[in-house]
Amino acid sequence: MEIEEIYKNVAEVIENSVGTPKESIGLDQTLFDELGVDSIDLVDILFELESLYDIELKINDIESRAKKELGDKPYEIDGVITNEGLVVIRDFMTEIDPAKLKEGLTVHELVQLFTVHSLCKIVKYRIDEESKS
Amino acid sequence: MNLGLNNKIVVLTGATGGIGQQICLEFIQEGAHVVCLFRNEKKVEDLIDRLKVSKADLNSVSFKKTNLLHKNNIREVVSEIVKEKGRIDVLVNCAGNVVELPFAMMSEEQIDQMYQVNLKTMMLLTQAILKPMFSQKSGSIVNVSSIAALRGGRGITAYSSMKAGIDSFTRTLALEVGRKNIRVNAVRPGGIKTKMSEPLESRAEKYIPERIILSRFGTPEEVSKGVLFLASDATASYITGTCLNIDGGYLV
Repeated sequence: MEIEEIYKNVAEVIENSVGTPKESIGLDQTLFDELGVDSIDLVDILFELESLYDIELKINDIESRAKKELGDKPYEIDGVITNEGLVVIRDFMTEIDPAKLKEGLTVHELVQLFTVHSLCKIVKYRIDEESKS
Repeated sequence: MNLGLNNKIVVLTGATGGIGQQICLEFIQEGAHVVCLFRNEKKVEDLIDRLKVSKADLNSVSFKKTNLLHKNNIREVVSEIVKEKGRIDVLVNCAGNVVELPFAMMSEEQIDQMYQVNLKTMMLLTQAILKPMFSQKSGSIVNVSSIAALRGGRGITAYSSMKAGIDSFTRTLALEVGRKNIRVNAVRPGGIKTKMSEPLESRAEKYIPERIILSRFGTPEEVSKGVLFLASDATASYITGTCLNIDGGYLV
């Protein structure tokens, strides 16, 4: 499934959750700052997407993916993403300005940078993973 | 007063206990369909007998054996209910247990068990049921706490702590999910005439007049009325995050 196709559904789900018309939801908009999604909206959005695609979805799926890629190397220490972790994140989350993925970034701060595109990627990643298993 | 509970889908834990049986019966009488999550088949038979005696419509109740400590089992059961009934309007968390023992004598296993039965099961089930409720953008959750949450007694330190946890869980969850049109409330029953309270009742008889304003123990009916009131959008649509004392004035 392609990102564009997922994007249509993600925009609709965001509209249902926070009321922003789907036509005005751009791929590059950040979920928290620009679309005003809060943590409970995010749970709501993830629940809807889980039902829609019959997958299990977690916002830290990005973290799981990075950990898998890093093998024995740590992804984070005390909540701060390691330099190795940042390299993996920069590679995967190309939609986020690399300048914002700077040393010292915490796991919590990373989520705050997520865009609609990031969410679509998480959905795609989970669909692909579940189709493999 | 019409409680507007006709055709509502209610999930109930602890339906085989004294208070739970009455809650089950009254939801059925109000036209709701009650899905009872149970552990012990024998106790379910007792509940069915009780419902038959009260001439309740047995088509309005169903039973699902559930291990409320097993997250995956809970998810499966919740998803079965949603598949079969299409929605979940009300969750009543009534399962609980009390073991009276001086805290200094409690084993780690007994403390764990107290936490699991009284608080963890409630959290896991609520978490699973929030999913369909988020989707519906509506839902009502009623937790059965206890006056012990506010005023403990000797031998129930762990139990009181868990019940205080339920109160806090109720208030904080209400804060989290209110914007999604989900209400979360609790009732705090006092001394209620049930099998669970029999030992307490016999010991407390002499203190009742001075400690309980209404000078008597309550009945399961008096608790279930409070539960249905809070569950109903017709009567409690603007009530969330509250814990209703049903204690004959004990906490005054």
